Amino acid sequence: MTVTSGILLDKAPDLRVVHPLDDVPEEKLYHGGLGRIAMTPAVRISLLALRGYLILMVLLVAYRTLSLMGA
Amino acid sequence: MSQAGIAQPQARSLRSHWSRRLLGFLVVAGPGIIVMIADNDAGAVSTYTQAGAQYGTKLLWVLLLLLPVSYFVQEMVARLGIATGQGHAAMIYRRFGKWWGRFSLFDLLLVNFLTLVTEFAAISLASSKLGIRPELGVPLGAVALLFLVGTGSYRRWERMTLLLCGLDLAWFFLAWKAGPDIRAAARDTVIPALPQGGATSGLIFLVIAIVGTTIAPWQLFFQQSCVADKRLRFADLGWARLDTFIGAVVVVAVAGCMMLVGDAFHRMGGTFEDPAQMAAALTPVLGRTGESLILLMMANAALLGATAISLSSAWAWGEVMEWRHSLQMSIADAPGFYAVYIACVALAAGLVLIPGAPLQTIIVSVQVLAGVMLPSAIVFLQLLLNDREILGERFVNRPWNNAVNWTVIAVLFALSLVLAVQVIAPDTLSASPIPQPSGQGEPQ
Repeated sequence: MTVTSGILLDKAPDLRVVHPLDDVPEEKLYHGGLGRIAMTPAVRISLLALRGYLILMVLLVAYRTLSLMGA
Repeated sequence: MSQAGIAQPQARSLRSHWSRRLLGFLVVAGPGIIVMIADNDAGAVSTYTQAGAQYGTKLLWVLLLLLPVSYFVQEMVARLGIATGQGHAAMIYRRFGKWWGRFSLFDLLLVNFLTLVTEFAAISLASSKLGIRPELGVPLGAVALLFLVGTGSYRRWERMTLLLCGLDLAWFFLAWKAGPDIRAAARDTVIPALPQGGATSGLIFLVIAIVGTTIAPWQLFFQQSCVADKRLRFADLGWARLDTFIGAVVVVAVAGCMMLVGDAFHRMGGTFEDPAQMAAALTPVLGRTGESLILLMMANAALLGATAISLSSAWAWGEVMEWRHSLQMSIADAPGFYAVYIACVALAAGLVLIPGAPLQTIIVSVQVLAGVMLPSAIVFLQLLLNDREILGERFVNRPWNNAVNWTVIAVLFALSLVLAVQVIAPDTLSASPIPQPSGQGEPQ
């Protein structure tokens, strides 16, 4: 008996459906030994843009706070 | 499969090809439908009905545009969850390091908690209008939320939550009772056009609110954790995509129905304050049953949103802390995971019951934080989906995936920035106020 697409194919002509929680856990693609993501140019630029965006948001909050304090 | 020491999977035998396919889908379905329908939470009810109340059917096209966007984003989440068996918070923490991991977790927990407060505020409002004192209605809602997850069975939680999702279909009945102009609604759905008065600041920010309501940060974390908890297999990806697509279609259709109910109020010439006030005003059109149904649907939307949001927090916290975190476990087996869920629910419910709690400030804070959170969460998602080291060629994004997703990210960045600038520095862009769920928007 083999498992294919979550369906047990027996020698008999019938097909069986197995709920994922009842199935034997499969080995996933991620494992802890992989460590950090490779810093490709795309990753570096994206994280840089994200940092810039977050800094801009913090500056906006600071501006708003100072405006309210001055009001 | 028949190795000694390995339990045999519990299989269900079927003889018909079609029944096998149907059951194959049914055992996989759940995370996609739940994440989408739970997204129509209390804030969404308020936003969509307000859009209908202010602009009639004129903004239905926005929903149609959001259907593929929400599907593409959530499909990536499902794919990542199936391929890795890990939640979104865990993947950010492990692949991008502690700083980004903690930032994402803290941001998620904060915005989730504030959103949760708005869900309980809606439960409080709906229960008081239904004649139940909030002091009773809110704790009852909190207990129901604890009961929902505390059974130690993922399947039981999923079935009960899907039942609540099914109740959302009552919006179709309400929309039909509202007597919409079907031809006008169909035209406004497929032909983008601006309402009378043009692109006012009120309209722009309502459109941004609709986008922000339809694609929320917690959804990314929730669906990936849910897929991991359900242990979906590589071969389930096709059905998981269908599950997500059905969810996207239903959520957009239900949102359209909410707009049509709001449209009935628009035709009456009413000024929108909140969905409860709108429901009372619509009694001549919908009857007393319709009014009660809107209030019940508000409470249902809040409960659905609250369980999904609290779970996304609990899963994320559990993943990062490496606690045991699964709905398949009892409270004794995963105490940290359930403690986070219980704490979120109890604190949010308690805060709503405090007289004079700053609910309006919380609503505005939710907008700002969601604006900050969504672009960052979605950037990590996109980078992870291009991580060949983990995903290999089978699950990694295709070039067309990337083209679509970077476009979505660019648009979301721009919209979030505009919204955040307007909320934080309202004088920068316009003097007009942002439409709030409490209905302080700009009437047409």
